[in-house]
Amino acid sequence: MERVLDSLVHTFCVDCQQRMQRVTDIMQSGVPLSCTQLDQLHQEFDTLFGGARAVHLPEMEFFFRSMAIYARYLRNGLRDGQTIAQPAWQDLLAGIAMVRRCGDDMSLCLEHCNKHRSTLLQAIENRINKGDTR
Amino acid sequence: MKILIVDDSMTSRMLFKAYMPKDGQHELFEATALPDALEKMREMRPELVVLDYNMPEYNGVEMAQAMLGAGLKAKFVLLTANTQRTVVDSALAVGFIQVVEKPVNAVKIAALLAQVA
Repeated sequence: MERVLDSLVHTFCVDCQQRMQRVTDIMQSGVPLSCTQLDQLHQEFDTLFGGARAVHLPEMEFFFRSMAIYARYLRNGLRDGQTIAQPAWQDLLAGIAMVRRCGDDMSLCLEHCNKHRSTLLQAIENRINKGDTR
Repeated sequence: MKILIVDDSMTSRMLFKAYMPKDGQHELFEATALPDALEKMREMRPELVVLDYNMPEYNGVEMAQAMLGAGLKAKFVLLTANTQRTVVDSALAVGFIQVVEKPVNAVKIAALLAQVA
């Protein structure tokens, strides 16, 4: 079963990098982001949250869940025609960049970016707690 | 039994495959999106179709509706991490026989196959 799990983690890493490429494309396709683009971001992060849970990577599960919640939170705060502000856009981009740097080794990444990840998630949580939607 | 799993997540499809009983009784096919799923249904005629809920473009319930609308019959099962009442109700209304909470494991899959058999 351990070999199966290793194989699943590898699959998750490949899946993760492909999705991060799509998310990067979304981020670069139209700055600032629209409701539709935030929905797409939420979908990608939410799927990775499920994948991380499936392969028993709790830190990544928490990270992707937080990013999915943030994307949904930003989207719900927008009215038609509004777009998110630069600080929120930068938070999302920082999270994406962090995952993309992991490459094929998510466990190594978790060790290396632990502090950076905590700082980002804390910043996101503070923004949500302040009710800062844009 | 022929089974089609429709999930855009490579990890979830592989997890399902990993936990399938290796008894030679089942044949598993995979699809990632609606056009691919419709094609596999026409070609393989699966008895069981397992659909993820959260997918881009169409969710699992919408996909099942499209399959039924195209005259393709099967038993449908929804896989989801989101077991909100509204999601479960929408699946049951379309005729899904079961909603299975993600992530799947060997026990959940065995129970599912026993129910469908």
